[in-house]
Amino acid sequence: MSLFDDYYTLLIESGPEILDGFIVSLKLLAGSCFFAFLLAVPLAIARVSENAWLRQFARTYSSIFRGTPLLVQIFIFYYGLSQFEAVRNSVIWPLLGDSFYCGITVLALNLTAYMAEDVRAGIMAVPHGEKEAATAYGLSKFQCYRYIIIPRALSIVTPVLGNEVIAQLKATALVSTITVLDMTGIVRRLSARSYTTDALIIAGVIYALTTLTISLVVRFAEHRNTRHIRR
Amino acid sequence: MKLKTLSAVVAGSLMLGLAAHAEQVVKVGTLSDYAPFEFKDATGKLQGMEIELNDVMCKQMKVKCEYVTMDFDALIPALKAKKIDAVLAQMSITDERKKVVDFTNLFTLAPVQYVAKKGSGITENPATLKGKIVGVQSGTNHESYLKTRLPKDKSGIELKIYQSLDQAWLDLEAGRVNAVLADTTVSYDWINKTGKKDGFNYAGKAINDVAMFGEGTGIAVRKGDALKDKYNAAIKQILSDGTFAKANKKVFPFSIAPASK
Repeated sequence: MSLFDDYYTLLIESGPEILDGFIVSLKLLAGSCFFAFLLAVPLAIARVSENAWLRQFARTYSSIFRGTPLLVQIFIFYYGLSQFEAVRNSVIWPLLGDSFYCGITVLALNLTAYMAEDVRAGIMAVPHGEKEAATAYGLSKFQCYRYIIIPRALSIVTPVLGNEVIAQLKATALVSTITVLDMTGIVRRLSARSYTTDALIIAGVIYALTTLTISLVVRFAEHRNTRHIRR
Repeated sequence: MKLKTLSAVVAGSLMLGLAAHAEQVVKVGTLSDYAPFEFKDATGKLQGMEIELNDVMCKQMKVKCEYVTMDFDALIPALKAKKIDAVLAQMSITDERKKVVDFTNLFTLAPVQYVAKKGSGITENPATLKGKIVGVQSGTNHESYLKTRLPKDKSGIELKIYQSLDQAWLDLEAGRVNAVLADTTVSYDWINKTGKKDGFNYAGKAINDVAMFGEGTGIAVRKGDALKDKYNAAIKQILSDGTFAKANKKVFPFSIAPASK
């Protein structure tokens, strides 16, 4: 019973603070997923382009961001780049200078690489006949992608993209290392102050519940996207 | 030649291993980035003033000391969880910490001072920091001092909290924080190694607040652990036989030895 009391007191005392942190985490998640998705579709198209340069660029981008640990990327963008006077005086400094925006930027760039690979897989999985049919109807290349290939590809890879979002939720915790007070940052501080791990356990439960919610949303989206092939 | 040294090292460590069998092993929790007290050099070897002194004390106590490095805010939880037996990390003796751990007698003094760019106008007077951002290390007195004495809604001072002091220095250089609040001792090391050429220096005088910062630092052990008495005897010994003064002189031109009572 005393264990329950401990958590109860902690929630009463630090609940608002943890909630603030949770909101920051959600902002990091939503912001980075939004921008990553916007960038991932063009990058995926570049990945399957007939232009060798474009293809090579997309492949290089992917291998850089998928080949190095996210934590390293965060440190390079936050502490590494800030050591150059030129970067500090440039137009991107307002973005990199602020730890929250710097965090969102790196999270988005990283997720872009993963999402682009998923979308590319989706593009490859669209049946060839459908692409040919679209061309036969006289659709331009842009129209082909806009109306046929991308919508089909996205619905094929919905579950995979959902997985990326869930993984991203957990990845957001890493930006607490660059002083962002997301949920992990807050509970680490609370734990340090009380010399216990209670706050961390509470954060763990909140993360798990959020993951559960996201996976329910993804399942719903998947259900909707496949209604044309369901009986 | 090389082979010879290598085999000597191997033989040496084997002997050490055998000897250790009989000795009590004390796991000492410390930091890896708190120069000049404890830091890892380019080859990854742990060294510094406190490490040097602790090695001497361990010999006096006839125990084998093993070092474990971690973040400052993880040290007390690790001590409580028996992952380490002592904390050697310039930890100030405060009432707050005394509730959970035991401290040895005063080991070093640790005055506290802001560091900022020259000409910033920042001093120990909180009014000069209004609207400014101050960087501190997580779990330190500096963090609790700013949180308790100068909360943001009253003082207008924004706080940025770092896992390690190294990161705070980097952000001071990058201009993300206007000042860093830290022990005068570690600041001295940074200012002389890197800060000076970019125009950083102490800002104002040391802050006088014994209730917040304690009288100085000690070595923390678990409550009731007999290790405390052993350490106290060893501290007394190195303070009186000149070992402390010698190590002190190597890194600071000023003394951080506690006044003898």
